[in-house]
Amino acid sequence: MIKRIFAFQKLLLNSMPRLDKGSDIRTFIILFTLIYIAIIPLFGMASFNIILPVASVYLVYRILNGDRKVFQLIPVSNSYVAENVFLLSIILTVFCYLVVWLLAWAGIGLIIVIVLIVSYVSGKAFPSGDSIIASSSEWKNVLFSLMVFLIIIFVVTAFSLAKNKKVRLMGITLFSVGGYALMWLLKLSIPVANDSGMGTLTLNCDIMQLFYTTAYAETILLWLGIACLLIIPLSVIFGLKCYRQPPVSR
Amino acid sequence: MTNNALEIKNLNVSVGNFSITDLNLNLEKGTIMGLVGKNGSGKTTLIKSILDMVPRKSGEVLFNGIPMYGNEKTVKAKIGVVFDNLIFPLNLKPLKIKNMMSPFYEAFDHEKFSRLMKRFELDPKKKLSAYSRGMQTKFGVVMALCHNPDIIILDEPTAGLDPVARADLLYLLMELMQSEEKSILFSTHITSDLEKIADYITLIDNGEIILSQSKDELVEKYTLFSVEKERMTEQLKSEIVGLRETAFTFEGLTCNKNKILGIPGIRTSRASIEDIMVCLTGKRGEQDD
Repeated sequence: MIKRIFAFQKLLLNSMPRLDKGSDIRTFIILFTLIYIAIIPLFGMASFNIILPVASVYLVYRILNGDRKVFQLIPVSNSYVAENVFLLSIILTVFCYLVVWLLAWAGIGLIIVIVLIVSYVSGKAFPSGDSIIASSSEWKNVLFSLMVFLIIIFVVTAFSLAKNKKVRLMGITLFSVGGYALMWLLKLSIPVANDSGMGTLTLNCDIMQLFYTTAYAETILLWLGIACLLIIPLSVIFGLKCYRQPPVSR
Repeated sequence: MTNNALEIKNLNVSVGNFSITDLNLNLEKGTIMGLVGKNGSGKTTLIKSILDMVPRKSGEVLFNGIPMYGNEKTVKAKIGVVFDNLIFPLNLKPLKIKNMMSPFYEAFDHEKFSRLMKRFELDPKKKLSAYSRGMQTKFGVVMALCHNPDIIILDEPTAGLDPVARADLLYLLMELMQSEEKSILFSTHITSDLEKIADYITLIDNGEIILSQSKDELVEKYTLFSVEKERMTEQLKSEIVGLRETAFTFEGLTCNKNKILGIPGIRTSRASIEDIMVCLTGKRGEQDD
């Protein structure tokens, strides 16, 4: 069974149309630059955490709607295909994260080594290691990012499985616009703790910074968790239903 | 138990501006059906809709009496498909593709894979990108046959092949038909291939079936003839299908060979599938204009 799943994942990956035309690559770069620019005011340094699942589901969308669908020839049920597509979107995102984390840690390691060498040569005290990695160890922020990316993966993959182009594009557009608007709403309504008390709103901070300071972080996480628990199974059901649709469009 | 390997009933498909309208077609078990038509006539769309790769508006497609929907596992295991463009990733080697696909087919024959690769002189350790177009098509054929399908659907398989490779592929298909009970739907532009192997010919134009008949009956039914211009009469014109004018003659097809025989100045010859296709679809084009 594992062997078959592994083989099917490889088949799905190999059904991805290549970005070999200049216009394809341009579209890809422009699209992701625009998305990145759009989410920077919201997520700041953590925008990368959001762009990775977006990139993964974009690849899944291309696989499902490309012209080299090798997986469609394989004698498996439509449910099996849809389940594997969800699995692929998670694997792709985790893989992207691993690559980025490895690169990031390699970078951080390099910086630490340089700082240590510089400190040793100049005879200054070593900076505390905690201060270097403090920003990445905040579990609430990590949990928040994780839930946002799970919602992105499951909802967009579910709509990508729709065989009707209108449903597919409309669903993804509505979700993107709606999600983006919701994030702005969240950013503008998170009350931040300051020296004089609660209630200061700022446009200069991103959601992650606000989340780090707000006393409502756990409440927001609770609501987001509930949303995740509802959205993820519903997306899977919707995706399976869409992909298992009879070939006759009514 | 049906005698048809493939049954298409009242198929309606719409892809962009193109549509297939009320199409009915049967492929008898153990026969080869040639699907011919001009570019854009709907051959590939028909094949894709048969395989549920494009949504249908209405209609039914049955493989050995079973619809694909809900029975994908059983039905797809019994179909072998070759598309006009290789569907497999070019950055992979044939062996790797075989290893990816074979776990899903209970009847996958590894020995047959090696035999066919050798027969077509394909190196399994070379990437597909290093193959010529013809070699890629041959590999597509190998992959379509290795799981011993009952129904083989070929979309322009001979288009990129040299005459030797084409002859070899046709010979292989004929061998298959002799040794095993297979059914083949063979879409092509190269009608001479069909002259050699097809049992039935289906002519499609603008998403509609113009004719679907046994090849022998078809060739028997139509006669190609030419008549000098001065001898052309209105009555004669009414007997002609796909009338064409050259410098000195009128040419066309007729279904009533007996009626025109004996008229002075008329020369008749056996109509090839290409003649029939050109005359019949050409005539429709004129009517449409």
